[in-house]
Amino acid sequence: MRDKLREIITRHCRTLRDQAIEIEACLKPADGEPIGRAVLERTIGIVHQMRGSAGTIGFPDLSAAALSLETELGTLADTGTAPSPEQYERMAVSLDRLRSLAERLAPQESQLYDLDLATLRAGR
Amino acid sequence: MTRQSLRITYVEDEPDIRAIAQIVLEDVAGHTLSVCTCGSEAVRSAPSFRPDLILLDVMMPDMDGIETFHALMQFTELSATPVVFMTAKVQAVEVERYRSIGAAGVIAKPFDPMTLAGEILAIWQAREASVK
Repeated sequence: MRDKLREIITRHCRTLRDQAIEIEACLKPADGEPIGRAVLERTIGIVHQMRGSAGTIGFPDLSAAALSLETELGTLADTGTAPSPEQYERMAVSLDRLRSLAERLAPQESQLYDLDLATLRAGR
Repeated sequence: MTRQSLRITYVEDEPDIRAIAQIVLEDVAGHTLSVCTCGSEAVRSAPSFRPDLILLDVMMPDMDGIETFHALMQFTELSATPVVFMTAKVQAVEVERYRSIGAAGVIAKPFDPMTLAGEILAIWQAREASVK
């Protein structure tokens, strides 16, 4: 079971890195330009998925960084306007943190990496 | 007598979350799962699987968790089956909304693999106690 878990964690590290790259590509044209509604919603969807999966798969810092970016993007979606310089700055900081965490993610850092069946059965 | 092993229809679009939950619920807790990758797959398979409980992700593309819930409840054989939503939106007003449409429980995402099985069993047992 531990091998199965580690295989999932390793695969998921790659997924998170790919998602961070995809988010960056989606938000690139946002430099001073309004982000299209469809792109914004798609990006929020990816960030939301990262938040949930990273948290469950044992990467709480990355999950928290995704939440921060999701909050910024959610505000943009609610107002429906181009980001203000302050919003853009906050978004860039959140994105930068998310990307840098995803880039150096190692499976061994997952809180689930060393779990075994007995520990999982014992629960918390 | 309290049953410990359940038949669960589990609907989740994210493959790695699905895989983790499957390990926890099948290998660790000993439940029998029918795993669905989307709402429409659940609507096709759940009536014949006859689950004791349905575990439903809320935010899914195409058919979301709420739509899936309403579609599943149209089947006579599922209309009394407890449904548990899994969602990141767990503020009181949102939880109340899920409960008002008939959810037996809500589990916050990201969920903790160490406690997921216990949370589900507690919801199921509470539901069983309330209908007796």
